[in-house]
Amino acid sequence: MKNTNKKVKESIKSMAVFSIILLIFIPMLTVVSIVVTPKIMEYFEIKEKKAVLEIFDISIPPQANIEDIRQIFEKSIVIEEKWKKRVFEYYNDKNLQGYAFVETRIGYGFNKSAPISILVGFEPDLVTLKKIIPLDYGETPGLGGRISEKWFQNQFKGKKLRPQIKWTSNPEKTKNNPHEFAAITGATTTTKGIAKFLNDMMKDLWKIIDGEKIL
Amino acid sequence: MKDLFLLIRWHNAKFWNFFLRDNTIFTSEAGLGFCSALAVTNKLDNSIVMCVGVLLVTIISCAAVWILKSFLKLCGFEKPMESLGDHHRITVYMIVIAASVTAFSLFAQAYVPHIALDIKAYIGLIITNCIVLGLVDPFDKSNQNLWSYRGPILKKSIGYAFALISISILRELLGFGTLLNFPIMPEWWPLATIMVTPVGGFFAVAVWRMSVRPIALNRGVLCCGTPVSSVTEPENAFDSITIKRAALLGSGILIIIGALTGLEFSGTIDIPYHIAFSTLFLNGIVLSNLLGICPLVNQSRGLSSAWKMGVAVVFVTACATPLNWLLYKYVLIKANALVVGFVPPFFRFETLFDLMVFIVTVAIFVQVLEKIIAKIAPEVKNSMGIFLPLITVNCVVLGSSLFRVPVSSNLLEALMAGLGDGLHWAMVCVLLAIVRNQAINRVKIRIWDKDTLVILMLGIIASIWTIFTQIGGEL
Repeated sequence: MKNTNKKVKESIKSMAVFSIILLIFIPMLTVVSIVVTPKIMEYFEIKEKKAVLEIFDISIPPQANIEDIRQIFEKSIVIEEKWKKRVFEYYNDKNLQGYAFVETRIGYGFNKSAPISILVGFEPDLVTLKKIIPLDYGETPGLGGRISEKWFQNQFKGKKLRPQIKWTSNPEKTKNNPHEFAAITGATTTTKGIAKFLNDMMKDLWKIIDGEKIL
Repeated sequence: MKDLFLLIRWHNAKFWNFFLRDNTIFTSEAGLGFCSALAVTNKLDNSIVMCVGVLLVTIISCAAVWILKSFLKLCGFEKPMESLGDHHRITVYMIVIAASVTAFSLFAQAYVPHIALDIKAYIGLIITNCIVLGLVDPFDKSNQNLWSYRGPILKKSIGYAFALISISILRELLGFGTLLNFPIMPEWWPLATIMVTPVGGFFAVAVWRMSVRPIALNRGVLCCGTPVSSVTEPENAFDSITIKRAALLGSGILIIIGALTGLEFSGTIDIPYHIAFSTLFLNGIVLSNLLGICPLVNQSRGLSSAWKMGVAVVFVTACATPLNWLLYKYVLIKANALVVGFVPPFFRFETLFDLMVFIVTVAIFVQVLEKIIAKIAPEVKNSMGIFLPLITVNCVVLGSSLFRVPVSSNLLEALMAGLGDGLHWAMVCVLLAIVRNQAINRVKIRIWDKDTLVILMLGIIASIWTIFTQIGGEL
């Protein structure tokens, strides 16, 4: 009986200690998050704006600060809600130069638990790519993480997504083939993931566009 | 002149003592902190951020434990930590460390966003970096204040940083030909892609351990009293290697050479998607994601401890991962709706408190498991000793929840993923124990410890695994 009482007492004590700990740490983390997250969001906002401007070849002066980037973006880019996405459009002399949107998907990279966000730029035909710029990912640094390197992003210019895009380990083959892009050496899983990401994304996009046309 | 010489010698000895004695990655028999040493060291800048992260998390965690203890004493709890018992105390430490890691991760994303983006998959896993727990626990028990405990914190953290930076210098130079992204190697230098891959980490760690250990022994930093493998073995060092074993070793070396020279298998074999199969083989948490290496090296010393620990890990991952999925989907995500209007729109429970919730679930399951084993098989509990509560800090268990929960679309998927992860770890642990018993323990070595050979062996197994994964195609 004494033992049971002692055990109950110890359990209550442990629960009290845990409750106090949670009461301290939950508000503490909440405060840290509220203080720090606006800065994180600002980083991603500017990163996205710079990427959109880069996709449409709109130059940003090297000395431009955050406000300058915001202004250049607002002057040049039209944002429209369509195809269940936030679509960036760029017009030059009232001529549409292309589309871009951010696509986020999970389970495509080497680290299947981390979402991959890619800004995908298209020519107005919605089949030919301008460029892709990964904005957020959880790939292995130095391997799958090399999707953020310029050579990888730039090689997508002019590639056709219909019927589908494929990867190859031979970079020479990609020069004359608009349906193939070069893999990252040592990061085949990520490369395959990017190909699947783009193909699945386009399948869904065309489904939505076809659905809208029928309606 | 003689004094100066003596002074230099004294400083030299102090330098080696400081960096190499008890260095958990380079010289310790029971190594700690291997996972991060393998995962983030292919770039020097990532390693530096990781070292700073571990140092800051350790300091914040120790400070938090000290403040917490003082606060609990004010609330009327006498000896609050001591009265909790070993299991509850580890859970408390894990909550404190999880909170510190989350705070560090937020600050890193805000102030060094490009680097934080690169290593964000591994920042969360600082929580299971055994070095942090290995410092917080003795700090709490020592009843010192933070300032007087600065020695052990700095020694372990700087030793860890020394190891990580050394490994990353080797890997970045050989893999990329750069240092801190500045080109160093000449253009004709053949880059070894394998050094960039996580598998290359095993070889880099093994190379450094093989180089550093003889120096440490020579300088008396490591004394012969420690169970250094076969220091007193006879001259004929490799006499127990048979032709069969040599063939096995040779085929392993051939596979590495194959990988080094860019041997590529095209992903044409179509294996149907199956979560348990994927987590057990192709997307294995140990051999693909390189988690759970420290307990793997330490628990594979004997076949008996290997399979017992394996069964325990299977139980914990198979239970904790689906339970964490339920908490993630039905508590953390749903809780966001309750606070709409009270907190800014970017505030998300699942990104802020996932680490804390996951680690508490794991700790609870480990305690339940311990109680079950104590009732059903007390002799197994005795033989497992301290290793049973330490499953809490086995990064496979936390990694399984962190990596599998967000992508699982239903409970069955989470269960299969957890089961697969546990089985994968158990399988590798038993396999390694067999290899140790059959081959490594029979190799007579003078200056290299057997853990180094185990790391090398893991590198070979992981290389084979990587090639196997390539064959496996898309999953």
